[in-house]
Amino acid sequence: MPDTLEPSGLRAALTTPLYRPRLRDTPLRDLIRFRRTGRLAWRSRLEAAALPEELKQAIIRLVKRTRLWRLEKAEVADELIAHFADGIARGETAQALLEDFGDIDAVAKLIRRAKRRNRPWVWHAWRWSFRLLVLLIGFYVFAFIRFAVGKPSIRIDYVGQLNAAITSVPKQDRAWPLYREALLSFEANNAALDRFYAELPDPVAAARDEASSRVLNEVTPTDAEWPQLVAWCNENQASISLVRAASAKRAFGFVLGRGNDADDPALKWDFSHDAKGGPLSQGALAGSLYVVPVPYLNRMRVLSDVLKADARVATHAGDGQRAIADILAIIGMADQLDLPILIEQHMRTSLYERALATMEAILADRPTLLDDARLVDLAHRVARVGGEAPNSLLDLSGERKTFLDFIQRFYTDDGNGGGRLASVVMDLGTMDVYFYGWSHGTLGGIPRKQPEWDEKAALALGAAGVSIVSARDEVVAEYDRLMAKAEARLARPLRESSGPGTPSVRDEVMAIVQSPTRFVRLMPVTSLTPSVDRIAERAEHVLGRREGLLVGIALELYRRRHDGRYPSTLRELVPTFLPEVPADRISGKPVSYRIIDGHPDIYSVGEDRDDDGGRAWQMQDVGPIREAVARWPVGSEANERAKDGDWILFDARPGASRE
Amino acid sequence: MRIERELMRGAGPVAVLRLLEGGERYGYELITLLEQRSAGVLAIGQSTLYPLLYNLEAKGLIASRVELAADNGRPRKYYRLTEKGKRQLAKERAQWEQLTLAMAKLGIVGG
Repeated sequence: MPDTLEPSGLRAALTTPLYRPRLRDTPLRDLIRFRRTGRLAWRSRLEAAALPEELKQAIIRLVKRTRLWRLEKAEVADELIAHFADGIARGETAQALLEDFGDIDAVAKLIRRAKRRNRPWVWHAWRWSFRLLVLLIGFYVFAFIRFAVGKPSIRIDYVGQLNAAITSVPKQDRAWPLYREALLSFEANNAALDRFYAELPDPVAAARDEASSRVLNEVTPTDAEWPQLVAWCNENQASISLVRAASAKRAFGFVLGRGNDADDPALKWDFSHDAKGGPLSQGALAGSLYVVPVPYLNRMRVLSDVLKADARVATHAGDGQRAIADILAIIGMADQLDLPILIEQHMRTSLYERALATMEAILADRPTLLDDARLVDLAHRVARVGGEAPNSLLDLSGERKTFLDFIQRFYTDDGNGGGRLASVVMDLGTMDVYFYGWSHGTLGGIPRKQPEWDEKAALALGAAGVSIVSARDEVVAEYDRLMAKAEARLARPLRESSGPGTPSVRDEVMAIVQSPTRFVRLMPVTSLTPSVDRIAERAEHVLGRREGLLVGIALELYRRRHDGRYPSTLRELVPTFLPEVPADRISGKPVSYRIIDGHPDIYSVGEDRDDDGGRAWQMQDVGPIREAVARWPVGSEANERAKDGDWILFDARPGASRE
Repeated sequence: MRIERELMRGAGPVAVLRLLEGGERYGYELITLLEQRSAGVLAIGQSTLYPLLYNLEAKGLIASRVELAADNGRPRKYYRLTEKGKRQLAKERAQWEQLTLAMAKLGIVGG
């Protein structure tokens, strides 16, 4: 209907009773303009048109079949009325017009499609958005179902693999039973050191029990607590002897996993219950390497503190044999800690450092305590601590097993190395955690706060999406690639693979974290790739100290044979006292040598590669920290400013810092 | 002669644009003119014309208005060519000319 047939204006609209059909049959856009056009009443117009009934019915059927909006239908109807009216006017019959027109249903479809193309862009945008939403929902439903039905297959018992090596050692050759006996005997015999093992209300406070640690580690003959320490060491020689005996055993022999050596009420270890006595839930990780408890590590640290203290006491008393026995026991303990996981390797290097520092202190404080033969024997033993490269001290193969154990528990397995994230990954949001107290024997679980239903739903939806893109084989391949790089770095002295522009596993992991798409696909890699650079540096620290101590022993032997005089250069020690002058582990040149205050000082130039004459780096209010400048930064870390100072490898001055 | 559907798909729209080049037309008129001026070759079915017109309108090549017919006083929808339609017609014309020339060189058509 043309736009201008009805009177327009507000007066006309207000004077027209609302019950008149024209208002209902007028499009809103006309009403807004105060026009009662009645354009939508196409049926009335069709009824009024002078057309044969069959044509009218055809128009009604076609217009209905278009399923268009009311106004569109009206437009189509008006056009068809005009079309057929023109045909009739030209003398055509209704039958002929219908035959020429064609299939009504087919035409209705074509007209519908064409008229919808004429709709406003907003309608098209909404339509496409709706389709996209449906597609997304459909995709997520599919992803969720796929995620929910996927089940991992735990095929390999990695804990069992490690235990097989442990249990293959005859029980009489295992050290742990003796260490355990020693620990229990300490607790039984001595109230003063109950602080180490007593049940404290706050496990964290136990970890910060500074007082007992200080007594063992820092008290010197000039301190007031010295007599207490001496008395304690003498009273506990039986227990300390047990520790020495244990350290001489072939293997550590701690059988891993719950229900084995880790569940020991006498030592207050309980990994089956949480702190309140309820069952500890580890979900899909139960029995995995990822959560295998190694509670003995802290105890070994404490025992090494005891041995260090005893060595100090023995040194002061002039008992060289006892002091050496203590040092060799610490080295033996370190040798035994060979579980190939990062946390144990850290403890291992720490124990080596303690042994070497203790020996250095003896040479500095009582250089004549040991006779030549004992010194030579000790030098031979120290020379066997590691080889040339960090991997001579480190074995991280267990980290790969831990990773693969994690993967097999959270990814499906298609039998060809492939698979996708499975719904058990939801366990990670709900499982209980372990708490390790450093100086506290009791280790248990803290129930994790269970997520609310909406958090669970969000986690499930997110995980379902991740399961689409996170492929097992890709995750494993990326981990293997990074670990191969890390292991390659450990296979030679770090100075050969350090500096700006050198590849860094840490940088590569950070690149994954910073890429949203890669992070989603490779999340396990970012969480489980061990921080190899730090442990590699610790291994270098041990090797550097070893070199320093060997030179220190050689200098002492030289001094004894040359009327108390030290050589002017280290070359004079070769070959009688040293096979060769060791290399500076940072610069690659021979280590540096100075006589300071009448005592020899062996040092490396430090990370700034600048010879500061044996001056250690100092931390304000703390003092010298030797290993602070013993760094081999790679990748982006290599661009950081190097600390100024030398890495002291051996300091024969009495009372010098050994840290 | 019945023209293959695929050929009609290309020829139909340009034929309609050409007819509108001469001025406004309404639907039945277009059907009659197409049949007459193409000697029945381009006899677009009546059911096909209106969807074709709506598609051309959606593309902005033609525009429409409703007016009371002078002959019978009934409302009738008239179509006219837009500027965009004129450009499109010129483009199609050039393509058809090239196509005809190529076909002639191949001996498919005379001339």
